[in-house]
Amino acid sequence: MRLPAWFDGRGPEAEIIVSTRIRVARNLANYRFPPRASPQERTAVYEKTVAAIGDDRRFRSFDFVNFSGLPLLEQQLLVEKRIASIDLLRSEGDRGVVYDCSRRINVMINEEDHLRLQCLDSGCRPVESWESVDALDEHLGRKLDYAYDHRKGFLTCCPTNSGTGLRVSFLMHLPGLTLTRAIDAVLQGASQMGIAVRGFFGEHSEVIGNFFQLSNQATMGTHERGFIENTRGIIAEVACHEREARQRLLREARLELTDRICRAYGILLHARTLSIAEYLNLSSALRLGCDCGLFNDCSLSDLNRATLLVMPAHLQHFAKKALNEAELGVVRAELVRGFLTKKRQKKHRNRNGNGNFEVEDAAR
Amino acid sequence: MKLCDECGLLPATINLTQIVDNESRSFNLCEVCAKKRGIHIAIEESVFDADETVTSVQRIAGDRECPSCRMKLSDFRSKGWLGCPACYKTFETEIDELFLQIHGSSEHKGKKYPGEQNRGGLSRLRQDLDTAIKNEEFERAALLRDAIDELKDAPGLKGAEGK
Ligand SMILES: [Zn+2]
Ligand SMILES: [Zn+2]
Repeated sequence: MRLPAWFDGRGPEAEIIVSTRIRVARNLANYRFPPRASPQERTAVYEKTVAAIGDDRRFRSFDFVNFSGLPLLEQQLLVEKRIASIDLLRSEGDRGVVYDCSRRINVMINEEDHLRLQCLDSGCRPVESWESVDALDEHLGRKLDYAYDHRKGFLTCCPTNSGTGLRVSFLMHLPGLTLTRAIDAVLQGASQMGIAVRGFFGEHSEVIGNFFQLSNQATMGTHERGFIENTRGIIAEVACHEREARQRLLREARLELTDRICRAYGILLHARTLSIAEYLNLSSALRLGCDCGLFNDCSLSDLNRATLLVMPAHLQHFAKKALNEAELGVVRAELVRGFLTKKRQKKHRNRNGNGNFEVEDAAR
Repeated sequence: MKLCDECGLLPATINLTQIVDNESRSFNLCEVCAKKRGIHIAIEESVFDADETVTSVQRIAGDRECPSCRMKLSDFRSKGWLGCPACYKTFETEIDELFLQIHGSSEHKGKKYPGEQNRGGLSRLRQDLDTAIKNEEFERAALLRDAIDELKDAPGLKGAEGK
């Protein structure tokens, strides 16, 4: 199975900034916004957009997926890969997503806006992501007639996106700040500087696994690069606090930290049932361990991969049948057990069977 | 829908009672003309800031409606989203205030959209067409109409041509 590019865990600062996402919202001038459009209008918008993308040789390798009539499980798989949003799944009529073969760039059609152009990268890479989105936007803007007003900018369904239509968001993993109880103060500071904070699963979701999505709140009043620079600046500060917190933990609470990581590993290696929240919370400790040099039985990108595979649709896809909540827990635990055991054995084979779970002495 | 007593162009949304020559008179005004008189009604509560001759100001009961998608102002207030691009013109005052609350600005400073020139061209052609008809230059009007038809290949919404 082909994994989206952002999963590789190799981007800059990926030990804290898991991924960068840039999106712009665009609408076509002569149609009502999707929530108010007739089925015929949605179809027309869908077809125009698909034609505009399909027209160009540069986008020849793009895949088109119409959600209308697509089995629910297929839709959910795309949502779990973060190629489509849950709102796209929930809307009606002709709608869908177009994505490139590396799964970096995608265009959602008829979600809340007619078009949502986005790019997802591993680590902190806002400039590259923006350039990809911008290039696609330039192309589509020539082929399609966007709703635009010289004073209000790009007109969007919700006024919270008007103007640039730009959202720059970073998925951050902040266990150090949580463990040192500094998280609330740091995030509060960020939100006072115009940053919106959400959980792993996006809007209104609770925080699990110490994952936070931080993004710009405003979309008017400055230009795109200004929003990107400003958001990146604030995110860099948050990341800096997280790094200090991790170092402080290593200095002042090394034993407790190691204990926490080893316990989490023990549970993941032996549990017979696991919920999503439990998996994310426990694997958060392993991620922290990877970065602090306290855990090296598997890598960040292994953990990213596992995080995707244990999502409900992916589990059902592999089990080739529908599973209820309890069954999902059992299959998830089985998969995590198998996955971690395999990684562990592989590593130990490479080291000629030397040693057990390792605690390295050298602090970073 | 009542039109503004002052400009006769825009829908009246504000009713105002004012003492003029020792007589109490009632006016129906649009947002723009009301603003010119120093009357400003915020989104939620009614606030006014005019001279002493004004004895009452209230929003005219009944919603405004977007002529293009028929979204009502009350729908927008309860849902938080708009129906179509033309809603931005229909509810301009309310949206501008909202922009200030959300973005701290109501001005777009990002990418310019090159396609806008085309649409600017469209509205210019329309103005020319109106003038041509007024001046009874029918041949010119026919040419302009053809040019307009060519520019808008819009099978979609009637009357919403991306104002
Ligand atoms: Zn008026
Ligand atoms: Zn409208």
